[in-house]
Amino acid sequence: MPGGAGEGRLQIRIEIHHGVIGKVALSSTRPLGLPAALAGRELSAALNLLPRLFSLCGMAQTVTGLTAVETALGFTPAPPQIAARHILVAAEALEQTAWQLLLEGPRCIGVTPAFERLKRLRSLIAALRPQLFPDPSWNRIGGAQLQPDQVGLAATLTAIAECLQPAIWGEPALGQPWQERRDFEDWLSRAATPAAALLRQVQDCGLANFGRCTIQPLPTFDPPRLAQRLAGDDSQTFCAQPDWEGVVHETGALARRWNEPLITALRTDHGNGLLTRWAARALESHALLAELREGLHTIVAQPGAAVGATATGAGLGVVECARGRLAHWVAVAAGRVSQYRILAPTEWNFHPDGPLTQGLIETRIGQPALIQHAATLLVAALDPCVGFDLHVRQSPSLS
Amino acid sequence: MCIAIPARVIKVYGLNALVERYSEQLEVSLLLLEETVAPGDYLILQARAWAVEKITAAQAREAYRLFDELFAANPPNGVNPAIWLDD
Repeated sequence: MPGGAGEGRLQIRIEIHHGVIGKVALSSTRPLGLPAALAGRELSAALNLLPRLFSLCGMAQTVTGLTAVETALGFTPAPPQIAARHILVAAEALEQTAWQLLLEGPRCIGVTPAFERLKRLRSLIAALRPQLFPDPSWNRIGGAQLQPDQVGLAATLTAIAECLQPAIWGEPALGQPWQERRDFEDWLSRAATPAAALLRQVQDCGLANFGRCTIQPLPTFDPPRLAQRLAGDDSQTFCAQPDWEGVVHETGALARRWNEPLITALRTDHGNGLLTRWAARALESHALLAELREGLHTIVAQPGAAVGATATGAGLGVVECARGRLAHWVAVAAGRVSQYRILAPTEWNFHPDGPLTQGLIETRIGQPALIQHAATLLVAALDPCVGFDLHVRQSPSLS
Repeated sequence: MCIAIPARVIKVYGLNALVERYSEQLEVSLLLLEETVAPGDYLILQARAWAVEKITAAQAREAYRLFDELFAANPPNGVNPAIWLDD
């Protein structure tokens, strides 16, 4: 194969100097040039490639690409079609959120992951697409035949909730989604779920503030401005190390839950440290389930119709997916892709000046043995879309 | 972005498998798969450690053709200008 293993990997190096993290170095071999390879392909063919290229977020990549292409062609699908696509994206995000809460997070603290729950969840989520779009070609430009099996969809959503309940939130009596701080504290102290065990360990090990920094959530994009950045001569640099009006931001579960009452309360005490980050992820699981239910309601209640407009020849798609905000920009000429750009959430969160670096740098290490553990929890909370290696060493001047 | 490069199963032992994709060999868990797996099958991985989908040989061949083409045009190593701050 040309160039080695292909998908690439994040390398994270932390250097400790006199008990303080003095340097953090991020490097990535992830191939960011792949979207350019869509150029020259017929539009539908390019869209069909997206889920085959990207494994963890195939639905989100497809829906974002569809939106970009339809915008370029001056076409807005009917509301139920948009809602159905949103269900697929939210379901995929829920699966990946559960992956972090039931598998990666527990592994970080030495708790057996909830494999069977995750396996069951994946199976239930896979059932949603055919319950919405019986035809596997659901990703048609302009919309595919939508035939929602309302009874089946409702049953699947109920089964998803029942699957997640014992693994994340615990007994219903313990309350969720913890709009009140005391509900969260109660859950944290008593729930016997892998997710609760993870947050308890963060708290009990004194890591609630670990990774705290001043980075702010990614603001709402101004679409013309974002399109301009993605179309510009420096788009490759922008997609690799993005900023918004000169400032690096974070995206993902915490950014989305930033202003919810519980997260606001936790930020007051712990900033955007580990406890707040993992609490936001647990909250996210509940919010995504609510989005699925809302999407189903929209499909039924808002029939609407597709809307045509003037084709502009270029279009932007922006979707909130599991790891944060994903953007695609496409330029179209003669029915083919002439240019394609993807701005992925990992580029914000693992930016050299992003939340991982800012959250680690200058952190004082009370117990050096904890640093590998704490940093791994922080990386897992930020959730890169590829594997990572974390190297911790003392400053060479001390060795 | 999480790239879906298929991996071919070389050996299955219990709930794990040794897989290969291009020149790289990996040990992966089969715990999250519904299907049974045998040497010669093709899998999609998450985080290089978990098999999450079994695909057909035809799908794998098609995917390899695609990735060969894409990587030839866009070499995967060193394309991200993320920097090392030390050394």
